[in-house]
Amino acid sequence: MTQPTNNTVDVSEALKEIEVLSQQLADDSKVFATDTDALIAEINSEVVAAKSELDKLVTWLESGSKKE
Amino acid sequence: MAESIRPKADTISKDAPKPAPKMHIEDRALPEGDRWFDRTKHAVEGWLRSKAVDFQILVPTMLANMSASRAQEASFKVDSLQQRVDSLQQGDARTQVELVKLEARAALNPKARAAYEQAKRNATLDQAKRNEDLISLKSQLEKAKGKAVNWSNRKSHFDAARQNIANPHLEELNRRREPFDQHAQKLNERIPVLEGKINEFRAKRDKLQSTFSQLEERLMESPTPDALAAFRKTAPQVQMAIDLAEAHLKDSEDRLATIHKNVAVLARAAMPLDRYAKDIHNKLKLRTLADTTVPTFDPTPSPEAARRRSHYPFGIDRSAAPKAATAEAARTSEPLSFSGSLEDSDSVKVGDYVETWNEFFPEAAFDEKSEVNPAILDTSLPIKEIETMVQDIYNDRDYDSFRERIDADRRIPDLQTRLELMRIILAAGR
Repeated sequence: MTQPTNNTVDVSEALKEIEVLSQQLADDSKVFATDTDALIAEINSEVVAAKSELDKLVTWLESGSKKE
Repeated sequence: MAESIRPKADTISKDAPKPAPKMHIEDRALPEGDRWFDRTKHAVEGWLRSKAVDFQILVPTMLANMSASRAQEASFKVDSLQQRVDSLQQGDARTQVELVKLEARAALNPKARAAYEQAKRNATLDQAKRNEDLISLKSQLEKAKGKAVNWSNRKSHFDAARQNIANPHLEELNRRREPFDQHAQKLNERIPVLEGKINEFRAKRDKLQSTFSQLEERLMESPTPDALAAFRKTAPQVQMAIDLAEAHLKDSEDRLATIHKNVAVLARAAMPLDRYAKDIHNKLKLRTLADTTVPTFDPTPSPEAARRRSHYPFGIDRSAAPKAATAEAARTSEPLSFSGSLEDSDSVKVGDYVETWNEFFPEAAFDEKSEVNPAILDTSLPIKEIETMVQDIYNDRDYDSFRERIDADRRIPDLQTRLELMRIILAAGR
């Protein structure tokens, strides 16, 4: 049986590290997708709410101008 | 570079998980263009005009500043007169001391008697003149003191008036913008969190990609059959993880770009509200030459609200907003309605307030180059009438009512005269 060369051992270790990183990234992808989905939804609802409040404020300013 | 040793893309399993295409119906971009910004700008300007907020602030602030200058002038005059009174009294004392010395010398030396008698006669004459001057100076001093107190009281009166009149309107506006500010603050807080998550995840993807590429390069330099076989076995799984991460990153970055765009649109639409607060704040600055201790009304919202608005993307710093929107905002950043700064009152130039004044009172329109000597206030201006008219403005709270009231008021011969008086007040306050 032939003994593995140093290079093969190094590559094997590097591949193990890469496999771990790869698995971590795959797992993180799921978490990232879920987290960002929720965060973006929250931000978008704030955008919509801010727009609504600004519209209300401008409408109030406009009505105040007309009354006087 | 040699051909990649990675497996071809079509060798990667077709069953590999891929991010599902998403329909982000909540990600719709807000409408762009100038219409929204213009609407807010016109609404704010119309509201300010209808409430005469600028005018209410402007006139009493000017009068307060003018009164402060007058009080200071009067105060200087008091000091100067007091020095002259003191000097006269000290001169009298010195003369008496000299006379005592001369008298003592004359007692010892009869030849000095003549000089003493002459000095005594001169002193008697000087004394009469000095007493006359002293009475006159003391009278002037009392008048100057009264004037200083009077102008100081006027300043307090106008300062209190501008605070009492303008506050309710501005406070209501600030109160009504709080809900918007709260959402803006949430956006200011949450967007950086999203950016942080994306950056963090991108770093992880980059690390795997970099490690993977380094190994690939090493293998290409000194390939061995076993190592290549092992690499080819692992590569599809790694590539799949990288592709999946890339897809998620692109999706999030696209959505973040839409968010930035929407926030820039919102921030621009809200810009006139911030600008009005800054504009009025500048107008409220008191040029208190004599007394800087009078508290000034700050029209900006609470410190908390101000702090919130000072953060990206709402508030002054919008450097992170998309460049196109920032450039467009800069292009349209002309000041709201009018603005001005107070200058030296010794040579009063009619300037920045001309536009507004001319708009409302074309009959008494300013010539931009004209100068008004504030001394006219001391000689020909009936102060009581000014106060009455200013009080009218406070009570009426709008230009049209003010015009009608002063037109109906026959205590001053004609509208032109009254407008001229107001024009002088405005000019003198600068």
